[in-house]
Amino acid sequence: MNNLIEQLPEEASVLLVFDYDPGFSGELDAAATSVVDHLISRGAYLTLVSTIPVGPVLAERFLSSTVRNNNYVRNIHYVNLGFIPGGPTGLLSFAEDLHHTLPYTLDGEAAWSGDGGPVGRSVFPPLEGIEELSDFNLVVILVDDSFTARSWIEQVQPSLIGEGFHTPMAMVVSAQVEPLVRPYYDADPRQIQGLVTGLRGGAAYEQMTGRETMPGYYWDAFIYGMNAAGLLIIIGALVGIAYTLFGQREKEQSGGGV
Amino acid sequence: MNLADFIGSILGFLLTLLVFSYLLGDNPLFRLVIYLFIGVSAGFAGIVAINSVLLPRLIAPLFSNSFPEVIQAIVPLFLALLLMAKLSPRISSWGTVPMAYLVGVGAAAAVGGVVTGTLFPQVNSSMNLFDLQLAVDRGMNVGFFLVNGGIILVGTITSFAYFHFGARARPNQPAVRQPWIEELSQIGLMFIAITYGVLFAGVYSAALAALVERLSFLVEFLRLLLSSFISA
Repeated sequence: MNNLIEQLPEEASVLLVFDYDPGFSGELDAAATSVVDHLISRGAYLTLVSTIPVGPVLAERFLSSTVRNNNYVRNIHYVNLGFIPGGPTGLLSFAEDLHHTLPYTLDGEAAWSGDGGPVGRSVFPPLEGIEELSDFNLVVILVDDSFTARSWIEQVQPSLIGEGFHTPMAMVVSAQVEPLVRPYYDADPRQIQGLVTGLRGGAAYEQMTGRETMPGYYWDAFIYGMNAAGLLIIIGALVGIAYTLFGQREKEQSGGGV
Repeated sequence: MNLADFIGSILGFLLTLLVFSYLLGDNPLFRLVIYLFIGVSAGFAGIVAINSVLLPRLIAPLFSNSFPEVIQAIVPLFLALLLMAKLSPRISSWGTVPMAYLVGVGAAAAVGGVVTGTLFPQVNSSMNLFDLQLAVDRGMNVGFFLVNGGIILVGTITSFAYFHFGARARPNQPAVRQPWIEELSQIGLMFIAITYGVLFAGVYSAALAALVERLSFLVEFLRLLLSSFISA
């Protein structure tokens, strides 16, 4: 992910997808903050979309409060195209015909044909020159469930590759999605080119890029929680084994069996 | 912090505490928050559907000066009206055509996506597991590359064997699989158990992150409140 963002040209166009429920915002905001912060520091223009109704609002909240100290202005540095209806079919339509699938911004303004200009032109700098999905320099998807992640890979990723062009697709995923998304990342050739996973991935990305967006106690509490769970499972298993062994011995001493 | 943020924080603080009250057992306060959440979610989804989908894409084109745009809006509007007939048992058969259209298009998109986006690329990738040239190109240790590929291959094949339920039918006896498939399936079961363990760890990790975020929010809010009282 770090290399993908570092290799972006100046004023790159990045499609940023917010496909997670508010319940997962604690994990995904923490995982994605350093990634989006990195994009912003590179001066990338952001185009926001979502396949869940609450996604566009989460995206606005994320950019205005989670990514601190950013001077990004809506409709200048980033544009929110809102909600893509229709599940996987909607995504296929989005990949095939971006302009007709999302004709308006979240504010209800015409996204693509400002001032009555030709299709492909836009009054919004992030959409300038975007004719097709492959015109974006990078697609980053923040996602909390495996079905949606797979839908993006299956319906959209093929349209990002063609003769003479290859737009990378990267994902920031919840830890619960990683086992089902990793095969696409480890595949040869890779179907997704970048992967940041949960709090662990966010912390690793932070460290790698020298950022401090996640509070230290956040990570400490997480580690203690994980260790406590591991310890409880081991103690539970040992108690279970002991109970079985002693129970069997008692049964044998008292004459055994039925 | 402006007034809206402050009110939002107080609401968030109270609602989080009410959700945590479930630790003491099911109670009316917890249920109140859940009903509130369902109501707000449903209302918000409805507003998004009207504001982002129905008004701009179905209603507005009907009043457009462009004839093709009007036609493009009339067809889905007609199908949507037919679909609403499903609500009434008397005329529900009218909704069969749009329903069939939805199922057909949805299934075609999903199946097409699975085949071209998952099945072929993943099978292709599995076949490349022993491509030593690839290991050299990527600067990987060849031995490690082979062991990794071997584990994935064994895991895939034995997991397939676990899901193989073909058994010869014998009169008055339970169906039994071929012994070699049974052996393979037991190895596959181990890989599946490990997968469940990984999935459980992922789910736990996601839930723990959400808990940490909420607890952190509570502590930060209390700290902010106390510091503002002290400074006042």
